[in-house]
Order: sequence, then C-alpha cells, then structure tokens
Amino acid sequence: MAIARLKNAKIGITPFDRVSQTPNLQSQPIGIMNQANPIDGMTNLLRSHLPICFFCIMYHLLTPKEAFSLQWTVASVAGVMQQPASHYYHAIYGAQGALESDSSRIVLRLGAFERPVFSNQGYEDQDLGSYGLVGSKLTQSKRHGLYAFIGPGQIHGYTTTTSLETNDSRRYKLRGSLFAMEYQVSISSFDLCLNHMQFIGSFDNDQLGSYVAWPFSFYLVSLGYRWF
Amino acid sequence: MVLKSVLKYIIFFELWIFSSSIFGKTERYQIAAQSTALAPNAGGQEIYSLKLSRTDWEASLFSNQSISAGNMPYTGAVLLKRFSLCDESCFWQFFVQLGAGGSNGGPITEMTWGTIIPLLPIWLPLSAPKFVPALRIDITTQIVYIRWRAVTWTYPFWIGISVPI
Repeated sequence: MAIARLKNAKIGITPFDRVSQTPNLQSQPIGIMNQANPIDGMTNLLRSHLPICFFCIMYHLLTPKEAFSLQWTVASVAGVMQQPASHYYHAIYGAQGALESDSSRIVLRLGAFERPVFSNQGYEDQDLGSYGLVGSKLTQSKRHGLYAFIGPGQIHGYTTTTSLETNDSRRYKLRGSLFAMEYQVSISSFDLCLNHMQFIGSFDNDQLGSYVAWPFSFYLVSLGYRWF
Repeated sequence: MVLKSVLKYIIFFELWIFSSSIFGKTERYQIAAQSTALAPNAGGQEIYSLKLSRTDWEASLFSNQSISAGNMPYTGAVLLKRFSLCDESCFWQFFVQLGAGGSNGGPITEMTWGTIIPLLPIWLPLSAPKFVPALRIDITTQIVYIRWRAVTWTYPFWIGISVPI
C-alpha cells in the first residue's frame, strides 16, 4: 500500500523497500486521516498567498525592461517519471510548445506527455499528463542558461484488469502545481534542454492536516526548434 | 487605552521595519529552519534542517527522521548554488537552487524551487526586512546515489521559517 509509513524505511542495499509500490491514487483513504487539524491556519495562509504569489511572479516578469519581441519553440520530450511513493522510473515521452520573449525574460509553455501502455496477462495501465508553465531565464548567457518555471498541471491514468474472475477498471485524475527548472543549450536554432519537474497534486484540508501530498518527479530531455 | 497602546506599538513596529528595509543592506545573510515536509503518507516527513544563505549560495544541514540509513536517521549536508528570480532585494523572494553534498546514505545532489513569503500583513515592495521571520517553502528533490542506484527522494512543501540577519 502506497500509504505505508516511511518510518523505518531503510536506505541501504535495498533502499526504501517499504514504499516501492505504485500507488493506487483512486483508492487512497486519505479522508479518514482527518484528525484535530492544527494547521488550518496554514491552509488558509497558503491559499490566500498563492494567488498573490502568481501575481508577484507575473508582475516581476511582465514589467517592461526591454524591447519586447517573441520567439516560438516546439520540442519533443523524453525522460522518466517517478510516481508518488514509488522508486521505479517509468519512461515517458511527449511534446511541448513555448512562446518566449527575445531575452527569455518570460517564457510561456504548454506541454503534454504520456507513459506508454503497460500490458501483461490481462492487466493494463497508463498515465498521461498536461501542463502549462510560466517561467524566466535566471542566468545571463545568450547561448545557454538556467530557467525556472511554475504552473498548473494535470495527471490522469487508468488501470484495467481483465480475467475470468474479475473485470475491474479504475481511473484517477489529479490536478496540481508544477515546479520546474531547466538547463538549456542553444545551437543555431535548436535547443537542447535538461529538465527536472516536480508535480504536486492539489490537496484538501484533510490531506494537509495529515501532511499528505502527491509528488511526481520528472527528469526530461527535450530537443526543440526555435523560430525567431 | 489598551487599543491606543497597541496601535502605538504597531506604528513603531512598522516604522522600524520600513526604516530597516530602506537603510539596511539588501544583500544579507538569511538563516532558515525547517521541520516538516509533506509526503504521500499520512503524517508527512519529520525532517529538520538549518540553512545559511546569501544571495547566490546556501549551505544546508538536514536530518530526516522519517527514513533511516543504516541505523541512523538519514542525515547530510549540502552546498547549493542559488539562482534568484527575485532575491532578497524583493520583499517576496523566489529562487531555484542546485547543489551537491554528502549524507550517511551516500553522495547526494539536490534541486530546490523555493520561496520566502512575508508573514506580516503589510506590503513593502522594497526588501526583506531584517530580523523579521518569514515563511519559507521549498519544493525539493534529492537524488541519493546508493551503490549503483540513484534514488529520488522528494520534499513537497518543506515548510519552515527564514530570518534575514
């Protein structure tokens, strides 16, 4: 069960064995973890601050400090994804498109990915996701540099078991926030990027009161083409 | 009478913050202490950290009581390079950090997306006021290199307090 306590999980020859299972997000009994909630104030604080956080980032990025011109980028993406409470890396692939100011002060990006269908002896599963990101270049070099992104995302998927005894199908959908950093090298009109993203599924008061969140980790390589 | 005293206190306090924002150096050390991160399991992660940072670097000590390496809590130290989207010259700070270090689980690399949010109900678009605690929230990924494996460990919403000094 993915909800297994991390306590006493071992780092060693077989690290984190106790949590190395793919979670079934649909059936997590998170709601019953509701307890005396000492951090309702924290929930409210986070909720009230998040819109201001987005406003501050947008204000910072959009304050005109340069002559504004735009570039388009399209890219193919491949890499690995790690699901919450799992220590397996699953291959994923996808595509993304971006609109970028001339000095990369602001980048708007849309992307989608999927994990290929796994199918074996009547069992089948798949994950898919999409995201929108707003970000900025943090370093000064023209031809390479580090970017930071933040934005909303969504991951959904299904598991299906078909056999003589059972015919079970389950789906999940998780919306949340993505936090990403990316190192990019530009050669002519081509961009090669190394990317790390962390997707955190949105949580309600019960989950926050129990300190529960669903983090997905991504390590991606993308190759893109840029139109000036 | 009491209300008057409270108001007087608030006005003096805000003036002090305002003056420290104006006259204090904008590049300053910050100390942060964090104690809890969310996790996919109920109860989250009890992970303590003490961090000292400047505009472009951070040194961090941490101890994760929720997992163990050998028979000890997973404990380590990391030195990080900080890239700011909005540094301590902003009242509200955003940054990412990349770093490497060691732990009793093995060598580690760390990637952090962090923000330091003012807690005071005032808006000073100048700089982080000195000595005034702010909420620090990190979204951190650590990669622990254990023999020939690279194990990813995440800290979604690692929460603590940051104090500029």
